[in-house]
Amino acid sequence: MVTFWEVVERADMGERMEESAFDMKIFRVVSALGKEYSLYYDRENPVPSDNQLADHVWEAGIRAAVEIGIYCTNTKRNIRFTEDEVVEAIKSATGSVIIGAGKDTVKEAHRRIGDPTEPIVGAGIQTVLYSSPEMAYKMYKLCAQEPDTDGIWQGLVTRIDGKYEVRANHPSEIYQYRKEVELMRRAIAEAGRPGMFICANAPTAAATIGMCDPEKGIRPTDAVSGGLIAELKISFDELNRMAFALAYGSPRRASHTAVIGGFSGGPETAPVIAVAGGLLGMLVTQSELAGPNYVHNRMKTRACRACIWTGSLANQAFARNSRIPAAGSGCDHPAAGPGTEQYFYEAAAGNVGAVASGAAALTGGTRKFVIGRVEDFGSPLESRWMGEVCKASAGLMPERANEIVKALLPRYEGRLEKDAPFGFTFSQLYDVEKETPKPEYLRMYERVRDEFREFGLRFRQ
Amino acid sequence: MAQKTKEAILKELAEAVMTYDQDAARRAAQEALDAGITPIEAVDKGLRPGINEVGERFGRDEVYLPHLLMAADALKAGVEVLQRGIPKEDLEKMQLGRIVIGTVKDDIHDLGKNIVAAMLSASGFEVIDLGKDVSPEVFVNKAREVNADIIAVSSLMTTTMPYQREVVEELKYQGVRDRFLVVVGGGPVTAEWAERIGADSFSENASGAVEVVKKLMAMKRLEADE
Repeated sequence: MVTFWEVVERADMGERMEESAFDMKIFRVVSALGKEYSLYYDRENPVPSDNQLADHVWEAGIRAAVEIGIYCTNTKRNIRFTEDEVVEAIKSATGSVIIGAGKDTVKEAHRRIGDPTEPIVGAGIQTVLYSSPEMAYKMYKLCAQEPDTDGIWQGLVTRIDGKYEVRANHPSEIYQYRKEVELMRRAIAEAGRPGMFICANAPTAAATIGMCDPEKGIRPTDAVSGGLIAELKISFDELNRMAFALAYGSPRRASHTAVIGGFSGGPETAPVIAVAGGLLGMLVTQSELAGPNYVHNRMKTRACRACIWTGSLANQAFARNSRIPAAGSGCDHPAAGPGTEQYFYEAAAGNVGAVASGAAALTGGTRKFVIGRVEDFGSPLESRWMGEVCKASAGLMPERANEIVKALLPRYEGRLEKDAPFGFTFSQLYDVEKETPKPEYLRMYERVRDEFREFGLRFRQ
Repeated sequence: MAQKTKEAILKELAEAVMTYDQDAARRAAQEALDAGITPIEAVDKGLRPGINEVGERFGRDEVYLPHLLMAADALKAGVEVLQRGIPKEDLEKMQLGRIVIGTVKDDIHDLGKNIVAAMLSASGFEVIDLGKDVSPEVFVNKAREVNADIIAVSSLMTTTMPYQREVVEELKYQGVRDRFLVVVGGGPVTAEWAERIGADSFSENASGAVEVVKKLMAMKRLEADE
């Protein structure tokens, strides 16, 4: 296997090129591969069931990984891998990663298409801003109490001592992220899940490293998230994060986001770059997990047809052709905000497609794209929904998932841009003191869940 | 060989942009000059309709960001030929404005910024893209160097938004706040934030950014004329 230090050496010594030339190289290579493999996009069937297509995407993904490589934004050099190196990484995958501690330990294991094994769910509200430590504590505790969640995302209390703003690469970032993870540890312990894995997301490596502490912070049993920058790039700050994670002994969670309508091309070729990015992320971060993510260049949701198609195909490519667990986001970016029916529909559409297609772990958490505009934006009920839908989708075949997604799309597809409902805050959706959802919100949840029972999802409750 | 009509040459200019063909754009631009078509007309009735069509296709997901960039390059190639030897004041008329754009310090998210930059180029603005992780000093120094009209500052994270304010503060520090218009944008950015930090405007998305910039430039021109 290529070592981390060989990767770093290639970042220092690889071919020098301009970033714009690298960007166009992605598009040139993926466009040619799209033609060679006759890749297509069937917008009428967003969760595909064409095994040959998934295999072609896989082959093309390996070739894209070899032909394009990764661009280091600090050194302006192209990190390249040989086909033998990529294939060796695929063959040497162990098939699973153990994460979490004690009774909260879980295994993120490779899943096949339609696999009856339940996927791992990393819930909680990713990147949310909290108005106070008290609100943050409640949210972490209540999200951790949701039985279908396995891991939890970090947010951030907006201001230090209610007064000082937090900035990236600034003393405030180091301090506040450290205090946040300490608060999370206490909250999840009170929830009775002290070992559940935490997904940390400080902007910089320095703050990530500052959060690591086997007792009070990020433990070696939590994955350190990081990886590639869209599209197919890496910075020294990300490499710093990974260098520390290797020394700390924690699993690495490398993700990469293919941009539909960006240099990855349209939905016919974006799955190729999702696969390539997943493989290259593994090589760079020495990870056992691949994170083949995707986003649309214009629409602020992962539940549009093109996103569901791209995610489904990329997951199917990994599921059919490797033992690598594919861990990514089913739909952590709905256009609709929390507390709306549309939020539930979008989140479910993205997750159902991904789970049926073999995603091993759904680890994007719950959030809306513009989460930073409002404090305390969301509630634990969205984590419940994510967990319940992902677990209840285990065993669905893509054909059935496709039918479900096709039934859901008309309910929200016309409202994915300006007119998507904005959503509500924690205190609007919950009686925060009593720690319970407001009756009308719970009724909406149960009504929507009943609709999904009719789709054939088997919820535990 | 029969001489091409004016309409045929203008159509060739548009098609060169729509097929991302820089050489064809240069050839058609030269033909336009040889046929006595004014540079302004060649841009307004030839190159610009071509880029507008590509922009509309982009909005319908029929073409992608690289196509938009290639079309903007073809437009630029045509404009470079048309610019040769024409008076400076006419050149100014051909140009909608000059924009320095980038993502703030410590923020590596540049998808939205890239789309905005491409759409601004496609709309006829001269765009100087500084990339991502750009310090306030670099924004301001580059804007001064190229005599920009507008500085467009993107941020996707709440923890990097304060660096948008730093750009405004750097302009004040260098004593040039009045020389440049500042537009901010990005996922967590709101109109209230833009107002609070003293930016001139904000946009929620890429297509909105083009409209915002057009409005600001129109206001700037009006003020200059008064």
